[in-house]
Amino acid sequence: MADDIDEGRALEVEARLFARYLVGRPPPAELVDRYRAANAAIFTEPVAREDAALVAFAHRHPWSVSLLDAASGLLRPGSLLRNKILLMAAILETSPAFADEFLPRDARPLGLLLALVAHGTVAVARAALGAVVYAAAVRSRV
Amino acid sequence: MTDVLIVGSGPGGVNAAAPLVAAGRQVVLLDYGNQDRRYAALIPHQPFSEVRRTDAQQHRYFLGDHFEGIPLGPVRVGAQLTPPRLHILADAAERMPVHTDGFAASMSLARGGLGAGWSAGVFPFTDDELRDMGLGLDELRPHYDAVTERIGVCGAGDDLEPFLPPSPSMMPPLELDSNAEVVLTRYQRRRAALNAAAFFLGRTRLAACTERHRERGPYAYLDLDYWADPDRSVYRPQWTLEELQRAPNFTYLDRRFVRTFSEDERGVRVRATRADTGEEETHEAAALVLAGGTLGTARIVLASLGAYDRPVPILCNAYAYVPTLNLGMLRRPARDRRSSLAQLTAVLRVPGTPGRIVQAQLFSYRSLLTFKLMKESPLAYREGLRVLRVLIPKFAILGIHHEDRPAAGKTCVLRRGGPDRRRGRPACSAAAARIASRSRIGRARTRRAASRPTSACCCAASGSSGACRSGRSAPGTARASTTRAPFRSCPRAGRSPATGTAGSAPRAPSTSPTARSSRGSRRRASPST
Repeated sequence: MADDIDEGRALEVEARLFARYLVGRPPPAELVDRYRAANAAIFTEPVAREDAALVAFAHRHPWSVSLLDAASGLLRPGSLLRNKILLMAAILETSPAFADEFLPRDARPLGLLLALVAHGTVAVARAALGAVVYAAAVRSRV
Repeated sequence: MTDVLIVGSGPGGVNAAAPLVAAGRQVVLLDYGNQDRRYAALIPHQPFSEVRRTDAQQHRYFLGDHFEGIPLGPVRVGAQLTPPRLHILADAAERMPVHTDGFAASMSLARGGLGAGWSAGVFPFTDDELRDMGLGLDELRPHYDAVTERIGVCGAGDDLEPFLPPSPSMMPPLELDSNAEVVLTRYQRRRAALNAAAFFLGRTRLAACTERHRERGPYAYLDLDYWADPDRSVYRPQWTLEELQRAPNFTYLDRRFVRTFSEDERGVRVRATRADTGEEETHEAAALVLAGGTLGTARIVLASLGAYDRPVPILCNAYAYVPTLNLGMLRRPARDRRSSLAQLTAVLRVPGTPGRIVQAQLFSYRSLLTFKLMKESPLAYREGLRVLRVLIPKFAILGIHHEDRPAAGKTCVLRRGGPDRRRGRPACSAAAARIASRSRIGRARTRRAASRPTSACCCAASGSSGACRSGRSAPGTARASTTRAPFRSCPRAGRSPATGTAGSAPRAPSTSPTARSSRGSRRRASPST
């Protein structure tokens, strides 16, 4: 029972953490509940130590989520951390309150170019720095 | 006595039944008949963008009540099947296990078969192809015309006419979306040169009603084709099935899994298992039409003939998805009013090989949701989202299809061991990899895609009419499938739970099954919606 409560709270923390990371806002309680239910439905296999370490590190150091996500995209694309973030993205996308964050947007050529350059640069920088953090995170305690 | 027994409710089965019923024959159709009973009623009749902004229940059908619509893990066959469509593949892997080498197959036990999720591409055989089968277009034209009228087909008279002969009852084409308009305009500016290079582009022929037709349609451009069937404007075999069920001389028996048939001078007997109880039953008729899908039909025929461990030729249309960036869309906004179906079809005559072609269809991307593309991006998800949001309106996805011909190494074999197992081995992904690697953008993606077994279409070479759109086998195969073998009784299938829970199917690794039924040689229909 205590484990369930702990896990429930941990998932609530994750939901808020990942939503802030993705769209800059916390999710409403309904979406937190949905995230909990999705975790229970999807992540049923035993977790590899490396995956558990990454998620635990992100919990302890919320600032690292973007860096670990970037690094995992190259080093471990199917990691539990990436999958959990993607899960939150799916839940946000299919909620009216966040739909506009995910619906395609038209951009003028210059705006498109600037967006690609800006986000691309940030992504590369995050991945580079993230690789360092990743190395530490996978060795950290679970 | 029943005049005709038909196995399968896919496009082949119901369109075989229709003229027989109209001619007054007593027809019984045996079908497994899985349906979506959960999601269809939830989906509002509104444009996709409006649904996204207003429907508080959208997560149910977009993600699934068991989150079965969230595809974690590698891309696999049927990945674009959404929760309302996942019933199409349910139970097939368990009932009809297939081990494949070099391709991935999909089979269906759904009401409507794979046609329940087909994205409506229509490709008649050309004279070249039919000649190889000992037929001619003139011979088949009246049948094509009858089916065209029955299912409702739209298209244009354009540069694709040599490949897609027109039909009198064809309706005007669907409107193009912004993406496709740009591509078509550019093609028309360079048309002469492109045609001289044996490249032709035109409107995709689609089984969709742009006008009111048989109490269906017209198409409303809601961009929900991957999720629902608004106004029944896109053809699904179950619409024909429902028409047939109003006839007094037609009987539909579902929850039946057909196993074997036997025949003598009195007629045919079909043995089936009741899906819900495991009971065995026998049905008799004067004649039999097998329309259980390519591999499903082949399984029934081979098991009935006792032709175990005997290689049978198989055809397999290799295809690849290639994402591209439509630079012509840089200065144009994307219209909200659109369809999810294929917009344009391109045909390239293969140089130096008369009569052989490669064809591709162009799709835009929106309604399959952004997170599914985010998953395939190596970027951090936050940046990936921001990049994809502005790129998606410029994306054009090409689905490239290669024809196939019989060859020594392409076979399938029925093995004993309950349930009977089939092994398929066509070597058809190499061509797809070569063509796909020439795309402007998405090289890494296409190399990745090509290294996985590409979803391929298999037409079992059997003398029966499969659910291949051609309804015909490749030349010489009828002989192969009917060479004499001692008839042996088939092992009984174990009782299947037949739960067909959408929640379990998607999470299984794609080692299994699935064989997609297809046309005989050249083309295959567009991917599932």
